[in-house]
Amino acid sequence: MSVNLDTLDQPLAERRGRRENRRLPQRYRDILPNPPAALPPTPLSPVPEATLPPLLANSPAREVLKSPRNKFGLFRQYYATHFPEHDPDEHTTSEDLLESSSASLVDLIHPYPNLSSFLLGEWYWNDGLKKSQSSFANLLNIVGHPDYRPEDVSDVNWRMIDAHLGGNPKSGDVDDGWEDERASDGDWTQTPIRIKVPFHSRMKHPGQEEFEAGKLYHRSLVSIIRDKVSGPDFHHLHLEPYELYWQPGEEDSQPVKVHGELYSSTAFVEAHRTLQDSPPEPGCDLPRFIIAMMFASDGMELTSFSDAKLWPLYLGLGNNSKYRRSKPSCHAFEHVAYFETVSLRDLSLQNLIDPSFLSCQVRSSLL
Amino acid sequence: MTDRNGGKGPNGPFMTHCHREIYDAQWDIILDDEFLAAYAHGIVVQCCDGVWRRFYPRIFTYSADYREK
Repeated sequence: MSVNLDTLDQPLAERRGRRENRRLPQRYRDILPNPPAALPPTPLSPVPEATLPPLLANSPAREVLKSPRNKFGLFRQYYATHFPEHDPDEHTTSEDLLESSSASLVDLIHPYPNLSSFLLGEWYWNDGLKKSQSSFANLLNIVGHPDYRPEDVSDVNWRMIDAHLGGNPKSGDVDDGWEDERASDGDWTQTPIRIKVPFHSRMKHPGQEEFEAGKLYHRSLVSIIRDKVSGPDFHHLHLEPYELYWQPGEEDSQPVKVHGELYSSTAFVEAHRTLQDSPPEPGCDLPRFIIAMMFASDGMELTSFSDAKLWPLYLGLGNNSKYRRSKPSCHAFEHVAYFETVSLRDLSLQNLIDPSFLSCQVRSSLL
Repeated sequence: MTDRNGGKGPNGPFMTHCHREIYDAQWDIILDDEFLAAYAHGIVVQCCDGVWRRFYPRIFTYSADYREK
């Protein structure tokens, strides 16, 4: 055994020579995502913008078309006359599949001018409302850290930073306005909600009576869809559904169905097939596609101290990848409406309930 | 209401009915005639690649709490 006398006085761990290009152990190796394999060129391409592939009775029969497999053995299977010309995955690069933060440290700690002040400010706002042992330990960790520089925090204008955090920047940039204020699209409408309320036959005036129960703020679904489809987001919309299969082994091995996106679901495939099988609109040979609507609504409290509530209805498109839908920066979800709820106060205004009665008894028990 | 009901306020089933009615009435407004026509006959849109296509909206999912109570 040879001992290098030069490094004898160093700790054992530092003595070992550095091996370059060492591979990480298997469990730490990360396989990067890989977009689906490119589709074979369509026989009709390049399609001039004005002409459209005919979908009439004399068009070629639909058949099962399989795309090549990608790195992971995944392939797409279409049931169509030809592979779609519009393939959103064509534009997918491996960068789209990776979630990485490109923001610089300066952007991340904005409006704090340096890391020391950011850590202090972060501790002040986010480390609980009360003083505690652990909070004090956290503070000691910040100011005791070798990178902490007291001179960095001495000149900081804390009041201005807090105003900025509170949404009142003294400086010119006001980009945190609400979506509704910025988009003065004016396509919101108000429609009175009319409901029928029944009264028992032994009541004074039995039978049904119609009441106006508030107003619904809503947008036209059709105009939302038009905007989505004609806008730049269209490049990311999957028009033609497909089935995704996994076939890692030999060409003749049994492929396994892969579930993931709505546009690779059985429901979408069947809806698309039903649409293609249905007779086209008279005199229209435009290609027909499904727009997959996905609604979501959830009531929420706006504040901790009042009963201010919102109950918004959102719309996302299943033609969009779930990875895009889940990214707030893609603005993939649209506000469609704000639901109204029944409140006795509203109904009492219309003399459904005697207001004086409401104030003394019902409010305590029912509101 | 109280007047009609002999001085008693609305009961649970009554409020449930109202919640359901108001909810259904609002969906009735959202799924308007324009949407129903688009559902049946599609809407023709020129997409941003310059191609005209006919789109048929279909509702696939609705994620929500049970809010009739």
